[in-house]
Amino acid sequence: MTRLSRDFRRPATFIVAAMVVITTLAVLARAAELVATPKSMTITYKLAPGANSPAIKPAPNLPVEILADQVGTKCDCDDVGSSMMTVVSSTVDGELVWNGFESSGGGLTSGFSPIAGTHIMYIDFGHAVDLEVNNATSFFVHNDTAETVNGTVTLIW
Amino acid sequence: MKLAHRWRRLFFWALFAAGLLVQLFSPHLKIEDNRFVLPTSLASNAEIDPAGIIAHARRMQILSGFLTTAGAIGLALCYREVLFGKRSAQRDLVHGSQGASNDSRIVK
Repeated sequence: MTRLSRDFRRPATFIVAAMVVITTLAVLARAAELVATPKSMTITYKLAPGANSPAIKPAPNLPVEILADQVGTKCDCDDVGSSMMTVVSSTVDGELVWNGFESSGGGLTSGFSPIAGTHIMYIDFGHAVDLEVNNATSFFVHNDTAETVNGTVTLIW
Repeated sequence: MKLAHRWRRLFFWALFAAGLLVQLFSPHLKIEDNRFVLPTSLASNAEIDPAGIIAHARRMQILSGFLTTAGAIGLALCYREVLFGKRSAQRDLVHGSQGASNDSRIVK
């Protein structure tokens, strides 16, 4: 081993060790953040007229709180709406069961169904964008307006 | 260096690298306002399963953390003489200063 390599070996080892420690701490921090974050997810949608979002599958046999919020403008008017409900994907009954509030003072919404297209709740101001049953385990956002709409659906379980 | 020692080092480097690879290939979920945000790459799927996505991401992160930490601890043990060893440090000083001036020879 040359003298030069001997001189640099120890500092180089410390530099590599520091990099390993920093990388390990970064990985652990990311893992801790992911584990500590509550079980909730926000899904953003942007739907063309008449389009449906991908099916959203709530956790089975658990009451899942759903907060849906339409954002953006439609027909030069404010189209903000928000709604909240709990939905249970019951594997025993083989259907979705829900209770909650329609957007913009639409009152209560409550029901159970596995049939595709069944209205669950409106999420916009004008009651033209709603959540609908997709099948016994999932639902989707449907845009029944003539404009592109966007917003978010948050699931908490 | 003994062959077993060399293999042990290689094993812990591989463990550490595996942890980083798992991290690289785990779903990169963004967290905003203490909530997961669905990545656009997954939003185009036919069916979105938030519970499944989060459970998968957590499993991958825990596995990645375990592999990386185990690798790092193993490497620290393998290189402990270089990193922490008093004898090792003295040896380096002695060997490192052979060609240097007499002022730098602090070891008896």
